Amino acid sequence: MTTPVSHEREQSPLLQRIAEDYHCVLQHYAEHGDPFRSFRARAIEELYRLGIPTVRHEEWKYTNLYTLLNKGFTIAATDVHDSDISAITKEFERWGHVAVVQNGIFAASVSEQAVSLKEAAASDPILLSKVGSLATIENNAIVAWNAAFSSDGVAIKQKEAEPVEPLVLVSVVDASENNCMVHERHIVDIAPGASATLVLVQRSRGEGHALLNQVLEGWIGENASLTVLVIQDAASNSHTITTHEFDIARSGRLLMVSVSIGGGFVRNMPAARLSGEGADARLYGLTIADGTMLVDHHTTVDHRVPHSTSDELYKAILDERSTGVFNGKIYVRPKAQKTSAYQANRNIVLSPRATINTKPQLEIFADDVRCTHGCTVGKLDGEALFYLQARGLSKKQAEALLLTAFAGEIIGKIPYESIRSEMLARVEHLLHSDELA
Amino acid sequence: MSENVDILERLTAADYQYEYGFESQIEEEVVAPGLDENIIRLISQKKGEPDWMLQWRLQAFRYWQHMSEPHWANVRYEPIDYQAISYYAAPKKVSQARSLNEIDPELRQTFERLGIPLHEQEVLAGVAVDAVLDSVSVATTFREKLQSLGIIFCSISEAIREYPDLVRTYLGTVVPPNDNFFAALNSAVFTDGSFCYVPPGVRCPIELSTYFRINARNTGQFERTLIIADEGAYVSYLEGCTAPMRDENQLHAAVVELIALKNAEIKYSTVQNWYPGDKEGRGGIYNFVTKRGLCGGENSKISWTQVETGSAITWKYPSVILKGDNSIGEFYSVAVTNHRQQADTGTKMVHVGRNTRSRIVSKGISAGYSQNSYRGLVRVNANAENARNFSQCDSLLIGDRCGAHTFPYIEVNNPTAIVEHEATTSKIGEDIIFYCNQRGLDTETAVALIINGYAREVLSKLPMEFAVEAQKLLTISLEGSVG
Amino acid sequence: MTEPLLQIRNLHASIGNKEILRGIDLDIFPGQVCAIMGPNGSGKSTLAAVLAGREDYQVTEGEIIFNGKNLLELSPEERAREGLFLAFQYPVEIPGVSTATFLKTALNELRKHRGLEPLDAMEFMSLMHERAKLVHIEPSFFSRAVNEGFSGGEKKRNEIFQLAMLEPTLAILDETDSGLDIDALRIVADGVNALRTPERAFVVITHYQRLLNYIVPDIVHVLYRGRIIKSGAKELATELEAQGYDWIKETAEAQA
Repeated sequence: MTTPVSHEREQSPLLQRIAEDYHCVLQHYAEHGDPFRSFRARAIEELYRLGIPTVRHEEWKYTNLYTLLNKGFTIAATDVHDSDISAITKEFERWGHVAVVQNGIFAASVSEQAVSLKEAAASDPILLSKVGSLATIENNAIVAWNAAFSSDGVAIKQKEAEPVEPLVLVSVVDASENNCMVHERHIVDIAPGASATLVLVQRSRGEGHALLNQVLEGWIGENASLTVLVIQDAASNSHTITTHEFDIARSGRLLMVSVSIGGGFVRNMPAARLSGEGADARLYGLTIADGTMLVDHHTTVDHRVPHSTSDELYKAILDERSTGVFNGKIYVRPKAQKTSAYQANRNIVLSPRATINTKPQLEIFADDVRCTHGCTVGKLDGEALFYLQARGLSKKQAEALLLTAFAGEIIGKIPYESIRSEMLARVEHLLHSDELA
Repeated sequence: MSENVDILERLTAADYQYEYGFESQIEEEVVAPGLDENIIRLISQKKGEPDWMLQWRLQAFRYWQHMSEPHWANVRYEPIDYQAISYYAAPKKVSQARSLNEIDPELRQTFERLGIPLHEQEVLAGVAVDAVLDSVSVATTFREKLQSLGIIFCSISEAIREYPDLVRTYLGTVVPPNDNFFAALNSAVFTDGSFCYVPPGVRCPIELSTYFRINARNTGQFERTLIIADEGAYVSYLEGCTAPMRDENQLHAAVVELIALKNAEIKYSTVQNWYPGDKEGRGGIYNFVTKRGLCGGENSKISWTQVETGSAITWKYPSVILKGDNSIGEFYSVAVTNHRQQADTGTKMVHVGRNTRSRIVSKGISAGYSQNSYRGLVRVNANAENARNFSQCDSLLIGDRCGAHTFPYIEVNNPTAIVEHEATTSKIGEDIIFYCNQRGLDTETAVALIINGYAREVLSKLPMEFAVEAQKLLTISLEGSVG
Repeated sequence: MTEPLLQIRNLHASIGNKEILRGIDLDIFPGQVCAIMGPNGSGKSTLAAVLAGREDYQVTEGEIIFNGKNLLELSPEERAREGLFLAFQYPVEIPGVSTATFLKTALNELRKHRGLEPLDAMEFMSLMHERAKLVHIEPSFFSRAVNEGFSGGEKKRNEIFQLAMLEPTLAILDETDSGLDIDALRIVADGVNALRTPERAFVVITHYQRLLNYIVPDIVHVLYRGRIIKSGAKELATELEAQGYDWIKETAEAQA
């Protein structure tokens, strides 16, 4: 499906605003040295060409970006306050080494693996050439918007074969003065045979609305392995749009677990490109939403070569007036024989005012494949509820228990015991099953 | 069961080509290509329509002028020049025919070659036929018998003249003239089609059938079908179609509206075998069709069954709006694409009333260089308590140059809904083929057998006469695809 | 003795780069029941697959003569039409294709090959009813899709039923006893025994001796590491059961 071309710059106040912002940041970036300058120029042109997608755009059919953007966001002040970086570091050090990016600028890292992308790219043309080569700006307004505005982020290079402690990347958006939008960009490079774990979290400061547009590009080398945990548990004035794209070489492995239990507007677009034989991608996600929260997962798994495998499981529990969206694309390219792809999307709607829109999607061009997707929308299993009630549990307790079991399947995919049990406890609390004992 | 085997034996052996590709030398009246208000006035005048009908058409035309052709479907084709199409073609000698005996012998022969005899005594027992050639209905069989039950079955042109109140009450209520680009075009220029009304409490005892045939060159076919099952009524309706082999593409943009009132049931079956174009993708019909049913009353049921083997491009989503409480919608589909064919087909089930149920079974088979997409929507509205849907969408690929795509849309706004969707894509297992080989079947026979088995759940929903025809089509459509 | 029905000479076969059959010599005569036993991985099922013509295996050396024809030059369906039948260890499911349709198509292909007129629906149905009794199959079974949703025992019975319908000259039973309880085993064995004729030969491939209590073999061959290392009368099977395969392995390795 092609993106409608629209030269809306003149008509759209939003694009006009973006153009003004762009003019300001360009000036500012130039003064501080800007390795991404020419890329930036191409990106803004593409953004002007595409416009910000509306619900008429197939990929945004169920998620109205304008309800978010109409709140009015200013581009983050690029000056960094480092007052409470140490507090943030302290908060997350229980999970691993912490790196902090504040308002899109690399602020601190306790790990040698994670350095400022801007600084690293300035002296490393190979790294610079990787920026934007996986998450390309063509026909992608969100990535183009990011490419036009982002100036920094983290570059992670993992050379060790031995697994090290997880790296916790905390994105801080300062909305203490006004509603603030931040674009940040990260590059992850896992050398052949190496392995790494990345935990992505977001925090905002202040009472205003904070919007993070995060682009992460990752290369997983031959026999390498990367685990990415996306913990989305911020307050309801925090909003997130993520584009996480990975290229997986021969026998490389990606495991991605997203836990979306907080934030106001969350749109995740993880993509795995399986470009070597034996490559394997596993994408799992859990959404627990209430209030007016919106959580949208748009996944893409692209099987480009023979003998690659993928597995996806996304689950959602939707209460109150929340909205869940799932769109899962599986591509099997003409040469990708012997592909095995599995995708499932399971949703439980708890409230009459909650909505789920789901669109799994298979596009298959090779014949010797086994691809399956399934999706369900429903309520809790009546049989199981009755069974538990017959054992003396109240209906409420029985529901809480079953919902926790439903959610627990995703939490169980987290390979670190400490993070897993912490997340499980939080899920139990959210679903009130911790009150049972 | 034994028929299957015989057909398979016969057809796997035959060197098949599109057997309906002949062109009849019938004197036809064809108006010059082009579309404007004058053409619409001309069509309306030729058909002796009342003014309200003309105004309805003109309104649709005005809508159409402000609409643009949709391009969201997963199909590719050269732009259509709507001014190069002739919007009216009719066999010259038909208009005066008062009985079946008066039909032009050449015309009668055309339908006989298609296996559609128009003499009632030779008609397949239990099937009444309305035959439509190019733009006009040429014959309707079994009318008296049906009339005695109060069932109206005639061409829509006749219905507009003879039963204007019924037509006015229902026409465009399920597919409004501004529904989509092709529906608007159809509403403006439709020339004929079938009309059926089954009165309260009547079960139509025979299958009703319309056979569509495009014959003239450079014409489009825009038929309009309207079927109403009044309270407690039942009707089963069959639709078949063919066209001559031509290098150019011809447009077929039909609209079918079904209305089932309280406790009524409509079963609509299609075997679509428009000319698919040749192996290189030259020619063939563009089949851009809007089919929709309204389960308007409580406990009503609409069931669509389709076997799609023809057309260069198919763009078709027979849908059901489940408005009445406890109403049921069904969609059973087999879509086969071979060579350069493209199909984007599926359904929409819109749950509005309470305790509504829908079931979707779609079997796609792609071969050659073809592209086959399932596109379906299941929507549960906020007030549709206890809605249930089950969808099964399977795709089978034969060869590695074709594509199979699945685009299900599921929108649920009610917590009591249970919606299940399953889809698989695979090829025919080598182990199954080997097993058949070991029992003495060659690979081509084995594949034909397996495909018919794969489609059985859908074929079993077709009336007997059509099931045999459909099985035959499945086999021959895939001829030469197994290498 | 008459001419052998099947002659296997120095047969070598491999899958990928792995050689599984490493020089098999075997004659099977009309009317004979020949048991092939051996531990797991000895090549028993490979032998069955090669005889039936499964493409996954490459024959690298040797020859097979069946009914005077070079079997290796024939496609799997030609072998079947020549009268070679394999009862699969794992019969596949064919969704939507009824057992009756399947068998009628298969039987008439065979009849065509033998120069016989195809059976019409009535003749075919009465043949099915008659043969179904052999393996205690209910007529409701005919309209069910081939093996779909069948229990393990039903699948194996269906294989023998097909054997009865297609009347081959050589029937290879590949671990037909696996997964069967004693009652089902007896039904299958009774069916096979009823189908024994002076012309028809059986190759019974099995890991265990218990099937051979019911289908008594004329000769027993022991396959180990792709070769026949021992042949004997039916008592050999009992001996193997009592002493286990280790005994025969040791003998084989001592010889090697």
